[in-house]
Amino acid sequence: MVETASEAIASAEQATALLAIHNLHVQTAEREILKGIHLTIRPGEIHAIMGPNGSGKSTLAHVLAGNPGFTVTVGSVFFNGNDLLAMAIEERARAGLFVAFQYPPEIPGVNNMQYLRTAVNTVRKSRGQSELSAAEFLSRVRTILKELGMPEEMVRRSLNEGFSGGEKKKNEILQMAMLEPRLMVLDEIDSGLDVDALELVARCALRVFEDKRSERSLVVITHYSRILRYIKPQYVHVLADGKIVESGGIAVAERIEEKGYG
Amino acid sequence: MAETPAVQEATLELHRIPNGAMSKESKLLVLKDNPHFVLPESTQTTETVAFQVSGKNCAFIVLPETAAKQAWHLKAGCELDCFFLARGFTATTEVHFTLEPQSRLRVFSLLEDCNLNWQAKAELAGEAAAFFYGLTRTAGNAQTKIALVVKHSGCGGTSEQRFFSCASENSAIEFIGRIVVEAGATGTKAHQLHRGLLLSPGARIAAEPILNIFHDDVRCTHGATIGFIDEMALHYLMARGIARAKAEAMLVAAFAGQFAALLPDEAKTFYGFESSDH
Ligand SMILES: Nc1ncnc2c1ncn2[C@@H]1O[C@H](COP(=O)(O)OP(=O)(O)OP(=O)(O)O)[C@@H](O)[C@H]1O
Ligand SMILES: [Mg+2]
Repeated sequence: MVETASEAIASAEQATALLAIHNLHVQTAEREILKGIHLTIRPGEIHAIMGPNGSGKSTLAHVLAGNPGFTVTVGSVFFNGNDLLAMAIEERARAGLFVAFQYPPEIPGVNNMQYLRTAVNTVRKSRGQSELSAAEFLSRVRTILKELGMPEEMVRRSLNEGFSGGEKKKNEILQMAMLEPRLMVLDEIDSGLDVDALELVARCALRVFEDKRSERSLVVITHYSRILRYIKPQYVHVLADGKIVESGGIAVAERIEEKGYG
Repeated sequence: MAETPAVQEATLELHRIPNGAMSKESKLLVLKDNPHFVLPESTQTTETVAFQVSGKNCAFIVLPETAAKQAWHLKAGCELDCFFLARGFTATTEVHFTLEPQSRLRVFSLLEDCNLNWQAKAELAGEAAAFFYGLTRTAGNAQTKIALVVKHSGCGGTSEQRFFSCASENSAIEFIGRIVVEAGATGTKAHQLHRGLLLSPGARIAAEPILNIFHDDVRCTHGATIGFIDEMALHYLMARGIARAKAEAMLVAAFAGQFAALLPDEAKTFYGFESSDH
């Protein structure tokens, strides 16, 4: 009876939510990392996910992005009404999912600008939008670079190669802003950023969200409440040992910052 | 039809001539036995073109589909860049360089989809310098073998070998790089590096460094890496909407770019790489 009710709720949520995660279990070769995650995110909402090191926050982000290093054993994830787990990595991005990774890889020899243009135009084409001309692309990139306080030289280099921790985070947000996703998952975007850079990055992410608030959602994975002063979440979830153990408002984040996970 | 392939032999002597602006007229044509001189853009024919670009001696060599043998002699003070290109055929090519002291040689080779046996040898007398850079790509069942010997027979010579190999499907690449430092060759510097990228489980790359060092006071280094495509990088590109095949092509181009980055500008179009600055 209980199971049936929860499944009824789950299917109702699949229809209206932007992201509906139901009883998600995930493992690597060695062990189970996520042990039954339930999470529903509707358009226009901002969620924060906090939790101790190793609790599974990045794993969740990777599973959403489609990283094949993790195996989903039980559960479902629906994105905008579609079975996310059945979609290829690139299809997820085209459908409007963007994960800013905690540790973006360095890719020597792939020019940042050329790569970004390929990604943007591929995604736009898949959404039935026209490709951006070189001039239009460059002018949009320049606007965002300015917003993020990034020198233009950054996009002329190899993708993330030799970028500092903070520069990599800014480059993630540049890509996000250019790709115009619907669901934005920021995995510790605040780590490695100085206080001024953090404000620029947070404001840019928030701006992208606000541009189409009725369609977009933001998930901020973080250890600190500082970023949440700029990006104010309606919901704060605490992940511990692969499960969401607490959900509440901003007060949860403030308590954790003050007292830890206890 | 079943004739044994003719062996072309051409001995080339290069003499340093004063710097001059590049023009067709100022080409330094040093090929003795070959009456044809084609510009490097025309890659259909199997010709060697040697001329000057901005005062530098350059040879663009599209390897013939028949067995070929070339010998080059660099006189003291001579600087030469050789650009070898082979695409899609079966052959054996031998090339032999002898370098007098104070001469400098750079050899670039792009070998694509060939059943090719490419044998190169450079003998350096004294303070000469020889640099070999290569990119080899194979697909299907192609097998390319590169055997390179660099021999230092005098004091103060410098040599470098940098080769990049990329094999897909069921193809194979073998690189054998030998460095010989003869007794008495004090102060020799010799380096060798090989990088291999495998694009499928059926592809094979073998790199074998051979060092024959008969003298103590020398600096020789060698290194080799072979691996599959970087999955983390691949998934990152895909997570931004780029299809797997395209993402893989971007990473392969980045690998090849390590060779392209070593090329002087005048050779980029010859090999079909976009010329630099972006
Ligand atoms: N590929 C993997 N193989 C084995 N174990 C893994 C793998 N990836 C993650 N883990 C383990 O899963 C657990 C959760 O890792 P995850 O990166 O999701 O934590 P996190 O909550 O993001 O931590 P942090 O706050 O430090 O970023 C950790 O114990 C980690 O060691
Ligand atoms: Mg993490």
